[in-house]
Amino acid sequence: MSSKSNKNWLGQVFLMELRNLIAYRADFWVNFFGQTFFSLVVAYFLWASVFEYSGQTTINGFTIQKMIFYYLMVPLIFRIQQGHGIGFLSKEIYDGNLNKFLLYPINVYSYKLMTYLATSSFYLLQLFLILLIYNLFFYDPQIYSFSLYNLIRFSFVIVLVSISFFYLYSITELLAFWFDNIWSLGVILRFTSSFLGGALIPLTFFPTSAQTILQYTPFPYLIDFPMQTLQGTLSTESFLSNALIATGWLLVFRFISTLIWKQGQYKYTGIGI
Amino acid sequence: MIRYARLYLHFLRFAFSKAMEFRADFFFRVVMDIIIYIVHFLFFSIIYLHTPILGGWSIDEMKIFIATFIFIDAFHMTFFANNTWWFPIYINRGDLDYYLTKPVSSFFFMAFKEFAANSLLNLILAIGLLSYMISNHPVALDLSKILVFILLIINGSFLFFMTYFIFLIPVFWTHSPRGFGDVFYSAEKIFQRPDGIFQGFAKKVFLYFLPFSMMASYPTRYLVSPTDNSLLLEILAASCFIYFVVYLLWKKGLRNYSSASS
Repeated sequence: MSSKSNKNWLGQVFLMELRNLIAYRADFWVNFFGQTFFSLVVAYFLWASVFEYSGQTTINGFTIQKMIFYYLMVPLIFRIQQGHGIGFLSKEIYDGNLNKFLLYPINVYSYKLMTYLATSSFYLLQLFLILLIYNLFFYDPQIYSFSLYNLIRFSFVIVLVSISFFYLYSITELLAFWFDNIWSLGVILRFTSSFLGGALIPLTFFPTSAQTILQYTPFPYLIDFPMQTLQGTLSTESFLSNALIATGWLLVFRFISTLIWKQGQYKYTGIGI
Repeated sequence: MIRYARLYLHFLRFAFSKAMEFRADFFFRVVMDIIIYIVHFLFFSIIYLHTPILGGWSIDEMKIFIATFIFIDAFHMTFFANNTWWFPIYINRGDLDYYLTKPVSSFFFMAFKEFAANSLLNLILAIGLLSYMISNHPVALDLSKILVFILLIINGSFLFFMTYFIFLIPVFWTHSPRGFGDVFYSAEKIFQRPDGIFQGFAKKVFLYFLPFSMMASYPTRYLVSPTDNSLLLEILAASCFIYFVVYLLWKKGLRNYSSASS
């Protein structure tokens, strides 16, 4: 296959996936605004209560306004990384649908990554929409510093960590070659990464020792790093070092995932259940 | 009634034989739930590093609350979750026909057919955790209140399922793959927070309209606070309201059901 036609099919897959995503438009928008609304309401009341009982207006550098912005953006960032979510590979293995991908003259990983990124891109557009609304009506430089430069850096980081998450997810997904039903493993990964990455509570609220340990894991680079990039709180040096570490984790996940894929193919019967 | 009990026993038998096919999944589910339980406790532990009280509760009362919502979640996962997963698929594929033609309540079939035997161990774990938290509470809790509390949290589990169902039932009209289930997943966090943190209009909505606070928070409040029977009346009223709403929506949805695959 020539490189031109190779690019073509990747683009087609990307567009086809986007069309699938907006097939149920009403549902899509209700789910989107509903999720954002409830996440925000829960976070607001929880932290308003914490601020009230603690008698402080700032905790670990967060005011209640900063906290609201954090909980407005973090679920969206997490959703972008999630792409297709659990089942994007394991279901194909479980159902025996992987056969078609093995027969097509295309790379399964490229195909799946493209559909994954199509979903991520769509959620990224949602984030931009929410950011636009926020900037139009509630923008306050005390809460976060908006600049086009930060937005470009954020877009780069979010693509990087989405690809990283894809490979991380694929590690659990590919275990379906051995265990058939691995839904629970996907949930474990999603839940731990959301907690240890700072999606449930900002990482600065964790005890200092826990924060130090977490720096040696991939989780802060998946959620906290993109969030800090969006907020514009990272210096150029910190940004570059974090981006480098995040890339390193991506390569590690890719290596493990490829290794499992190679081993798993020998276990695959193609029958499905 | 006996007919339904016998039918449910058949559901259980099928569920256990199905679960035995995926032994690794059985193990993974236990690990998954233990990790989720730990994360819930860590979450509130971190919050309590920054405040002595949350929603009017100390950390000891909060531990009972956490164990309560973990129990309700485990109950839901065991008895209802698979059914809610299949429900939109039945509607969209036209598979509901199969249940409508049976000489039993179609809602009973839809709500109870899929028992998750692989989650049963998690439910047992959750019961153990809740018992531990209650027995280790610094203030001795009244036995009669504990008995009422058990009834309230079972009711809370049903309320959880019914509320989730309200988010799924639009599938009758939209024919989408998951209805508004994603909204529910965000909204359900309300049920994992003490009702004391909510104020004003939102508090009323989460008590009476989308009764997330009635599921785990009110039963815990009844257990750990001085006896207040008005809480029981409120739970009863909210439960009746939700059950009635689901009944109406189910009837209306069935009238709209075309049986055609979508």
